[in-house]
Amino acid sequence: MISASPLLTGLAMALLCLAFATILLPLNRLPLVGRMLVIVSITLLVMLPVSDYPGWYYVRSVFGDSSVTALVFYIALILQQHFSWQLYQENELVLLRRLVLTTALLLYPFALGVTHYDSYSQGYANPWLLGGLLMLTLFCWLVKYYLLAITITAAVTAYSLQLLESLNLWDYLIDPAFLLIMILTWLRPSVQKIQPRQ
Amino acid sequence: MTAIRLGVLLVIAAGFTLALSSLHAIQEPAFVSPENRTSRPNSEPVLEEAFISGDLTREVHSATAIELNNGDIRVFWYGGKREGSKDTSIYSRVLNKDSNSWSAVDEIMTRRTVTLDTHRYIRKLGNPVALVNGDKIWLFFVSVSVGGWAGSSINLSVSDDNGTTWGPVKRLISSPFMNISTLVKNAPLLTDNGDVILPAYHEFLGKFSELLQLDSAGNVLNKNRISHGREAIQPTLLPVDSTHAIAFMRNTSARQPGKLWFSRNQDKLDNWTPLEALTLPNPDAAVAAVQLNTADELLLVFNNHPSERDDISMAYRPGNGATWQLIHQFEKTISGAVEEHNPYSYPYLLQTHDGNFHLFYTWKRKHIKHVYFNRAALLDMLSSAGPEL
Repeated sequence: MISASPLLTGLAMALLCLAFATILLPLNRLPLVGRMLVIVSITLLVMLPVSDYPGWYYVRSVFGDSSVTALVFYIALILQQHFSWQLYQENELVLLRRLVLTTALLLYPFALGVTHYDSYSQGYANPWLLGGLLMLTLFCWLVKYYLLAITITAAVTAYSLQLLESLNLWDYLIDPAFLLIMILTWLRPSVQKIQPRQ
Repeated sequence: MTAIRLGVLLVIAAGFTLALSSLHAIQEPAFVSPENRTSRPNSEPVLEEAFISGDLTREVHSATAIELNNGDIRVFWYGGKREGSKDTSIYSRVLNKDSNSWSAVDEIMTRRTVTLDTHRYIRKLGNPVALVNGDKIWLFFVSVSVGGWAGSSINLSVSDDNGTTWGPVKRLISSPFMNISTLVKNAPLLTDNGDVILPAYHEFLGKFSELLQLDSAGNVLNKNRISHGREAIQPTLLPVDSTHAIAFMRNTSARQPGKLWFSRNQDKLDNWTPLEALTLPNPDAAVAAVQLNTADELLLVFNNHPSERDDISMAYRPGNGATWQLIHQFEKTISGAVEEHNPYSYPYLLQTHDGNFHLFYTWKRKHIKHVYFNRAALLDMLSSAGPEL
């Protein structure tokens, strides 16, 4: 389980930091070896102790746990940007971004108490939410957005196996850091594009 | 159909089949009815008070207490150099029922312990609340990693030796927004299937009250909102029967301040009446309440002022719909005296199985004050009740 294994939780936090670095730092100007060095350095910085505690304790205390959807996206983003593995199609990425932004708009204001309706509570053992996700996943499969379909399925499977600390399906689908990264990819369109192989 | 296309479809089918087959319907909780408490017959009125938090820390706040299965009282609070400082810990001590003496003050939870157990950096600890759940004690408490109390999350640790030692700290996940802004102040309730209903509140963009439904392992199964907006926090929850409860809430409203909020659920726990302002004043402060001989006969400890916490008073309501009467004043600043702002706050009232009462509250942030009074003393207070409120 991710939540029960400090190593896996730490690696998930390292992925989050690598995703931020990939978007915010001009790493694509570096040769492949340079990028690898940066990736390894960031991973070590996050995993090794900083003062009393591992660096990822601090990252986790700020951002919370990453959703499973985000983790799959971060892996794809890093592979795509640094190793030219085209995993998400451009249109697929656009759809993912729209889905994340729409979900965030529908989830966060209501979860934070704007109205009496609590959208977050709909994530507990809700067959309707699962049904909606199944429809969305099948749509992605029909239009051949395979990685997006796999991403949602991974989140749903992790939810059923309770791999995170939460029993709420929303926490497997979206998190604020993921939203921030999707906004950053929107603001920096070059990130979406496949970098030429070095 | 290509192999990839077929493979992806099979993965989707397997993942969703697993998810749908693992869904369990959330049971509507049924509260365990409050027990009838009986007092010792022919006892003399007793009212005793003492400072019980010792001098380990400069400031203390937010006491809570439970009656252990052996009849002893265990009290918890947090303390440090000041509220929110980095040296805050949760402290506890026990009042022995037989010898009527207090144990030494124990530091039972430090931020280092919580950091190591939750794998998150913790900057400060806050409000504890506890529950006797079978032969275990569940201790919920607040922790903050970043920012002020708006950045709080709830943690749970369980003791199976009456609080002498504590198990690993578990983080409750109760908000999708970095899991921040959920706090506790008042006692949880047990349900007949072993679930726990934990009154909680948010203090970030919204200031509102809600109930967390936890399973027997301490996982959040569901949550139900009592209020919304920026009106009401720190719900004091009392069961009326197996499916109904009432809640008194601290008034944080800018539009309609100064009165204690009240709500009751109508059928299910997700259906609460709109906030109703009671006649009781509330200076944006926590209250505590217990039920007496019936579910509707209540004692409520509160600050009897719409804007200042310069007293600790107790009101009595004989039944549903009846008016409140002021029956006792535990603290009152002397008129004209130079006092620090909001000297008395965060009351916690515990009724023990012998029908007597233990009140704890923050005294000028320097002490946790304990007031013990028995049923005979309560009857005295009732017989000389003050004005209707």
